[in-house]
Amino acid sequence: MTDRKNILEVKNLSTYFFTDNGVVRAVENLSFKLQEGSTLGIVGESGSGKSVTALSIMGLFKGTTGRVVEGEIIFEGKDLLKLSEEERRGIRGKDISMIFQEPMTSLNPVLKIGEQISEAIIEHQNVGKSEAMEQVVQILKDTGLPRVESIVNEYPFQLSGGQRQRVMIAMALVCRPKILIADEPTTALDVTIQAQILDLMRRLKERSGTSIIFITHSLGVVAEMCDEVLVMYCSRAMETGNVKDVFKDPLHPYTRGLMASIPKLGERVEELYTIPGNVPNPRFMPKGCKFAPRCSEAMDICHEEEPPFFDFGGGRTSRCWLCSNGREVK
Amino acid sequence: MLRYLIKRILSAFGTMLLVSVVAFLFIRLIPGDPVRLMVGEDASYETVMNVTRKLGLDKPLITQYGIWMKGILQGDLGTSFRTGRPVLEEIAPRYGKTVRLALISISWSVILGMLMGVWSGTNVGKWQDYFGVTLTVAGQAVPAFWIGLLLIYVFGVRLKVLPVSGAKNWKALILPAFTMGTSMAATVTRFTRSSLLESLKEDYIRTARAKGLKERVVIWKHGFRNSLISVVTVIGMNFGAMLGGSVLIEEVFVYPGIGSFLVSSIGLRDYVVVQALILLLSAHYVFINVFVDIVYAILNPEIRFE
Amino acid sequence: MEKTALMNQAESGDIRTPFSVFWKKFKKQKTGVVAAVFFVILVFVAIFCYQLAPYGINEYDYSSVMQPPSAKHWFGTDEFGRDLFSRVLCGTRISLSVGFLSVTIVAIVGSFIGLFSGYIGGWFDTIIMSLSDVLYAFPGLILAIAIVAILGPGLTNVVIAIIVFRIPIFARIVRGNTLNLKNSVYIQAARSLGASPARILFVHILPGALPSVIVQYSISISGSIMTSASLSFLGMGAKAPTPEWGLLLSNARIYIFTSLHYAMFPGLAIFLTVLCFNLLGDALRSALDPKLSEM
Repeated sequence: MTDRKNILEVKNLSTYFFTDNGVVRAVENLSFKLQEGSTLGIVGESGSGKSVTALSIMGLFKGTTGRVVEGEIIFEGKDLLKLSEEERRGIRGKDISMIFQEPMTSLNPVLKIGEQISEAIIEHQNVGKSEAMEQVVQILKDTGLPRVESIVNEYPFQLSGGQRQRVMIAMALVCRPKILIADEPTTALDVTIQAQILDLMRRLKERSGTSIIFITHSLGVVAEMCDEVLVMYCSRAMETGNVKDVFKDPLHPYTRGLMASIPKLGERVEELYTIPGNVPNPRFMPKGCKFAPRCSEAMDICHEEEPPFFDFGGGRTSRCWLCSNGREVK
Repeated sequence: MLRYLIKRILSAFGTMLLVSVVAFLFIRLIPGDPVRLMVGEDASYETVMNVTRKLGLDKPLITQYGIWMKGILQGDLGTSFRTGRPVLEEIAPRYGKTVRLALISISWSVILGMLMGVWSGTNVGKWQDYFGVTLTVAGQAVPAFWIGLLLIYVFGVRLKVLPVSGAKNWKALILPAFTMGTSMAATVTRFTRSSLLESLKEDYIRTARAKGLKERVVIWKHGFRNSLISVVTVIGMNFGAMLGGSVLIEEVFVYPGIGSFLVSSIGLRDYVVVQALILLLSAHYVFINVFVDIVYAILNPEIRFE
Repeated sequence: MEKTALMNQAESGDIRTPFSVFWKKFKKQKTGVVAAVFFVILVFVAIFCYQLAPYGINEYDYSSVMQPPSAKHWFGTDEFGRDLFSRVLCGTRISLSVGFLSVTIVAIVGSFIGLFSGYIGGWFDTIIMSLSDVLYAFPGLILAIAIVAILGPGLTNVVIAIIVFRIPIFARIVRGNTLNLKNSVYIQAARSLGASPARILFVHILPGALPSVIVQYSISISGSIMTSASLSFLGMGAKAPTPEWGLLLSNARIYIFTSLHYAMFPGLAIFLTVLCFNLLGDALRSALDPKLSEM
């Protein structure tokens, strides 16, 4: 399990947004490791801080009020947060790249597909226009797009949503990044297209050995795609571990709740389970465990004091007082 | 694209047809007897009858319109009552001067406006932005004829470095062109700024940054390129105001273009000339809008490929 | 964030009327508040200009013509020795009257045309929109000049010219709003409850179009003040001895080679007044409809 080396290590990351209406703590004291060649799933409800975690790693806060206020993001032995903007730009799109949720709006409507992919190549590799174009055609073919030669001269509006997401994947992978961050890459697509895109990502990963951070709200996708999983709730990590272990024996009541709300094949139930209550308003956060108000197993201490991480070895941790038999992580 | 183009040009001709009706009715809408107004109260009955016949005002309206249109299509805009020369001959040299002035004004104001807009929009909350926004707000509110007078005072009277009237050389064009472009520059700055801010919020900007592109490339190639579409529309919309404004600027700087010609012709009740000028200026405006729509289509692939 | 702000307000028990929401947003815009204060001053000056003016507007004094600004004559004097400060002050009433009168009429007439055009649709809409296309085909001031050329010079005809050439602006805005609202769920609901067309138009659709009309009203006032000053400057508007700002500037033209003050102050008055209504319009736009901002 731990024989592979960590390509990315996030330590105590906190990212806040400083809005007119106050500070929003989008990510709070988050730590995780990404092993080389593996896929880490970050799962949680919308607003749990998954996407902001991705943006923190990419350093894409320009034009927003967001800022990493604390922590380290260590990539290949360097803390990304200590690099200059110019150095980070050299890593973005080359060593670490990202696919976004909305393929319909994530491509520039007035530039040709070929131009949009090749500009990344020209930026990061010392190649000319025609050579870059050859690479573009090759990577587009790898994504299984039809009539690639004409697509490079087309505009985004001429493609379907699934085709655009393939273009986005091609764009992210064209410089052979070491890490690919996929932020809900299938959420906006039709169900049949979703399966195709997931399949494509799996194939490309097997071939290139890229490490992937896969952000999703669906545990089903995690089970299908990931080796490790990180469950987030209210800007915090709740549980981490190997996917098989977590699915077999979820430690945190929130993870159990998430799993209970997945419909199972061949099992008819009167009503699908839903976690009671709502995600708390970020301005009125509970004092203790953030999940306590919705937790059926909450104890007195849960409302009073936020639990620390309890470590069970092999990357398994849980932020829950019920798990206090594990080793406490300071 | 071709179909769009043809459609757009046909609709422009449709508008022009309606405009021509309005311009045609112009003399006929003047209360009382326009011929009396033109020739003066103490002209003889004979003179009045002569002018009436010359203008064709004694025939039925439909016939008059037919004759007038036929003339226009043959390049005959009528005869100036004041000079007795064909209107076209009177207008032609003045027209060239106005076009030259307008082209210079629009060039500097659009280029400067776009640069200022991007400069302001990429420095939101800093002094550059406050500077840009203040200039914009002031530029849109300032009366052009007032700016013109102040410039005449400063550069012509005090510093004595620039000519304040006429169109003899390029120096004489500086002050009028600056005055004429002020409001356009402010408008272009404002819209470039706001539409750049809009497009910088788009998802594809985040994609461009995620590719590791230089900020300069992100702003100009991805942000500005997209905001250009709406900026071009605004330029087209404001071009009419600029053409109208040329009347004022030519008055202030005694510039021998069609604007000052229009004003003096109205003063002298040379209605045939006024009618022709109104038709000409509108035709201009209508076809410049067609041109703007075509540029718009070129910038926007979704329309181009329709 | 918007949502949480609303929730907080709901919890603290504030009563939210449309006006209080508007006022809260309007107050945030400093330039808008400054413009609003200046607007109040302008209206005050327009009403009491004859009481405020230190001299009569037609008080000739041939012993002191074209005097530069002094303690006695704050803005200096004109070619007949009249006090320029008094004349500029009293010009406020003329410009504001022309602005408010013409734009109020335009707003009412144009809104009705747009309302019916959008609601009835069909051939009526086609005719109205073609007519407005034709009016749009005349570049800016040219149409106003043509109308004044037909009707003859004078402030009344200037008002008529402004009305004619601004009607399509209001008609289009209200028509667009009407078309949007006509098919909205709440109008359909009202219709299914048996509301009469008149009730739907005036109780349901008109208030929906009101924010855009209010914003356009403010901006149109500055536009019409500018147009009337321009026409007067060209000798097609106000006639002497009216202290209309554009006419004052027109008179100042020939003196620009010797003195600055005569052209300076009437122009400044136009500039500040137009600026005031523009800023007011911008602030109203942000406060009434964030979607329209910066358009």
